[in-house]
Amino acid sequence: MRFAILAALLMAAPAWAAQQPAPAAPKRDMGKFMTIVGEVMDPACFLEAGAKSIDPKHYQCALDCAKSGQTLAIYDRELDRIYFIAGELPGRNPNAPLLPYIHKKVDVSGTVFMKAGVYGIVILKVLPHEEKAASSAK
Amino acid sequence: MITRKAIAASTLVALFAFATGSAWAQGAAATTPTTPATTTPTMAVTPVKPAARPAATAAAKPATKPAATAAAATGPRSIIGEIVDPACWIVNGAKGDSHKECAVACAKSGQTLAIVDKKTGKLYYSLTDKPGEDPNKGLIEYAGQMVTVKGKVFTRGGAVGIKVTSIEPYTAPREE
Repeated sequence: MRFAILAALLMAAPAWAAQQPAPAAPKRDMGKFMTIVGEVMDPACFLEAGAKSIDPKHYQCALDCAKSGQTLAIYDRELDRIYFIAGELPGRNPNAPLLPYIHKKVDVSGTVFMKAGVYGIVILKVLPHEEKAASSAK
Repeated sequence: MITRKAIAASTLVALFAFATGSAWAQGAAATTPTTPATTTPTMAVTPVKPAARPAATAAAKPATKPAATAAAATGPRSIIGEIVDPACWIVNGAKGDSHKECAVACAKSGQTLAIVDKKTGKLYYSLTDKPGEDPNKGLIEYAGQMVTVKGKVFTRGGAVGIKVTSIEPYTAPREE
């Protein structure tokens, strides 16, 4: 009798275990690789003063801010969207790839993440943006 | 020897275990929380830009151009939230005391810190008042901690920033 109950429990155990849901692994946003087009700017001045702060007159201010710890960002005028720079590794200056392009329009390739409505990009490559001719000459 | 009663009993035990597990699993599935829509990356659903741009430029374009970037300075505001390194927070959701060391290292190398509002989950980027000022001054000491921050808030381009005027550690009120 005891043997039979034990055997039954052993038989039932795998069936019960199979019914248990697997522990829900937290979904991690893997981002999306894309190329964004925008202007490199200082978000501190931009948030306060708007797009007029993306101006040659404001260059020194943006540079000073960047050098004192303000992370630069990319502003896409068409989308009215700021992409914050997400440094890939701690200890590396996230502004390094953007410093030569302050207030310039650039093509930035990298992995874009979005959380709580805020966009960030882990930069892979930055190139100066080249405007394409609206229409080729006939 | 295995008697008929024993076989019947074992079959009943097996069936009961199976049924219990099944019901439990269904209950668990029904109560599994769903990810809030705000935290789900929506880049996949953003409309594709017209062919004027190169195909590699996958940035999305809204159906209508957004309204002018009207600043939404809301004046002085008090926020209760955690000081985070926004880079790691956006990419990995990293925060808390376990991420403090990384956040401090990032901040020291040029990453501006931010505050994640405890109530709304909104990110408030730290802004300096004058060029040359360190936006992490006063915040870096509290990286990974809950704080009460007062300052002036600005909103543009989908981002929110705060010029911090005061910061102090937050202590949750005691429940009575």
